[in-house]
Amino acid sequence: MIYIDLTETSRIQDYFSGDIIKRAAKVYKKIEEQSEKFIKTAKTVVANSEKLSDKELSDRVKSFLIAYQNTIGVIGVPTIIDLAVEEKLKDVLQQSDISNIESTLSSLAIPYKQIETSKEKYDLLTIADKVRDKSLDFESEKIVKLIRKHHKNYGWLHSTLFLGNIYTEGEIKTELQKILTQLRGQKERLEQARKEHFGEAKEIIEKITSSDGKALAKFFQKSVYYRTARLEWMNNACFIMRPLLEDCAKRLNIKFDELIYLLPTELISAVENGEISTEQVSLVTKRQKGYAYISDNNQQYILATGSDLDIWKSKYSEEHESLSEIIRGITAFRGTVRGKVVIVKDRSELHLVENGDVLVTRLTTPDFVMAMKKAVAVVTDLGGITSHAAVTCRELKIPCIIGTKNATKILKQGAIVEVDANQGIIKII
Amino acid sequence: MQNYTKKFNELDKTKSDIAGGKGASLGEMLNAGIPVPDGFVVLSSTFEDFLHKADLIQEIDAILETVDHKAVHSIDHASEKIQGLIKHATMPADIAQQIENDFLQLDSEFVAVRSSATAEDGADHAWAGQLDSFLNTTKETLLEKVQHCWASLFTPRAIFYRFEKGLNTTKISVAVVVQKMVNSEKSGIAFSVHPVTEDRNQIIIEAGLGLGEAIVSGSVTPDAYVVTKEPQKIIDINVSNQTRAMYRKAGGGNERQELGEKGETQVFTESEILELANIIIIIENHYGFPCDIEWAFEGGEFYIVQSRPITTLSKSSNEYPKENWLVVVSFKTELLTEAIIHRGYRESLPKLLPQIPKFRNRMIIDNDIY
Repeated sequence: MIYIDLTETSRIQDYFSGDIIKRAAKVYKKIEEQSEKFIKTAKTVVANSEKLSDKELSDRVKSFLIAYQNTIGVIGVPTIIDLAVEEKLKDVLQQSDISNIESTLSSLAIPYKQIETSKEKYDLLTIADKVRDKSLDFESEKIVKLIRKHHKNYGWLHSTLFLGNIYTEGEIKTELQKILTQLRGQKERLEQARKEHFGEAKEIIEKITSSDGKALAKFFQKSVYYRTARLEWMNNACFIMRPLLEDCAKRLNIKFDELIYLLPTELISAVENGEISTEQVSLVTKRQKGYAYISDNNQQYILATGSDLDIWKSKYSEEHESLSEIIRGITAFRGTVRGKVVIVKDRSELHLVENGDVLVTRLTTPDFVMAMKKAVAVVTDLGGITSHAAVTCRELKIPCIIGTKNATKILKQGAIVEVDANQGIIKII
Repeated sequence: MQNYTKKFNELDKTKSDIAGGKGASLGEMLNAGIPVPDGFVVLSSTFEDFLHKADLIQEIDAILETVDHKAVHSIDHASEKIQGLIKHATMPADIAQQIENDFLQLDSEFVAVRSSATAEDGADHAWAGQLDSFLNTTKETLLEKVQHCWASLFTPRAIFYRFEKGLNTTKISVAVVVQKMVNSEKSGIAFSVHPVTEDRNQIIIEAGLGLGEAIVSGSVTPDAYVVTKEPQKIIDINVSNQTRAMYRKAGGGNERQELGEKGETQVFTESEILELANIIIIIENHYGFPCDIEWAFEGGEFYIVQSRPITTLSKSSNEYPKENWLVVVSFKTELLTEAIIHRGYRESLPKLLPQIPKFRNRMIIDNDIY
């Protein structure tokens, strides 16, 4: 669980509320700039790394970490901008006598530009059309090339920073085969749906009475875009960079999954020395099992594992909400479907999701997209209308209910349910 | 002969103007009966004497006058020049002689050499902590390290703070602490308050063989003893089997040794445990709050290597009551990224978007279990 300081957050929110469109636009510009730099740095540092000396390699890791830190330093801000935008927009809708605020907000929350997740789907559908048009052999050189290119562009799509797995060429191929068994015209249908969605948003904006309010509603679509795109850019850079870190892990004779539990300074000095002590490795094993990391007012960083972690856990344990029998949430994308419940507690269980299942989880991150594509509906405990699950499901046209609070606790694994995402209700059948 | 140095037992907390905060507090601890490893302080007046005898004062002032502290390159340039002057000047023979004499009296192969800044106004300036520190220093490099410590008063960071805090007209100087490094036969940590139960009447001592690093890092399972303060008695002894230990090699560096049967026996006798517990009580009373203490044992004596207030436990979490936090739910992130995020908010954001109010307190706690 991640916690941020409420006083600081509200101070920042106040700052943005002062002149939201102008101030937020500056942040978005900086995010785009930093992300671009970050991707460029990742490409530079990763080139021809095999022949580097330990010192040269550690210098490259250092430049990467600096770019990473600078980008990450600015990409956290949109979370707070969103709070400010949503709050203001709710006021605007109320003043314009628009009812059903939550679902109206949800209809407005379309990214103003296509996010990468949806571009990927279009690209895959385009490849599928090519295969059909030219009746290409699935094993042909041409298809292999197209898949390779698709992988190069979108291989990062299903991982979250350094966690999660890379979207492999094999998976892309399977996905493509699946599309080919379906009827043609999906791309057109997606385009049509997107158009309708924009049309709906436009109608809402027209109903808004003030011109400032109209501008804010349009701006909201920009903020939805940046909220999702910033993560995609980060994941892209980390994907490009990954071979360099894998090389580091190999030289240190540890696993990649262990390497990413080193602190930045530890990583740099280990790579520079070309070795890592067994004590350090056992620390890493401890951290992998769970850790707390806190930066406090005294400019200190606290890292707790083992019994220290237990103390922090007990101080900040989550209060369990009383369970109710009705599972209700906010509609992120409409539709009514039936399916078998698959509860995913963390990313290691994503493979349990099969075609036609209802994916029920706490919240989603980009590495969930693969499983989301297989699901007929997505239900989450947490998150609002600009959450990853909401934005992605709208883009991929998957019925989705978010913020049910307790669906993962009430629903049973394997139960058959009806997800009524028109009303935001899940019924056990 | 002029006094260029003072031994720890000649110092107390009122002497921070000549010995720096660190030097004065070591003297204070020794006087309070806390057995810190012995040592001496090269006084701040000695640094001034050195500048005078090496004829550097005017030159340094002239360089500082050219500094535009808003321009990074200007600070870097000045820093490089001044540090070069200090490091490369020859140390006056009488100063060198007294430092080397004091060193010989310590009768220790290795010493730690640390700088400890002083300011006329007596205030504890944050940048004091930014100065240098050199472990495992031997006689051969001692004088050179002392000069390095002096030069650290002019690192770019220190120069920046000097201007930023308006200290450019205040007389700032630097003392150097030279302290014996204990060659631990046994070592460990202690909490003056039980860190898990937070029982204030219970002291926890963890003890192992060899150098302390492995115990501090948690890679060796040490013996654990629980001692109550009132009445002072041992209520729990947990002996563990230590298989390996780190020892210092003659001539520097560490080496690991397999312990065999030696690792199976209890590290300390009951009377030794009580002796250490007593020291811990003295430390806690000295500071007035719960402490986390690193200690070492050599030649039948306990030494306190480091003591600091316990911050990782209730103190911090009490500073942040639960309702002051906004929960941003997330799945687990890898520590590498998490550490980068913290630094990003704290260090990069203020540089890249200075208009945004500070955004730096953050916690991630792995309690997201279903």
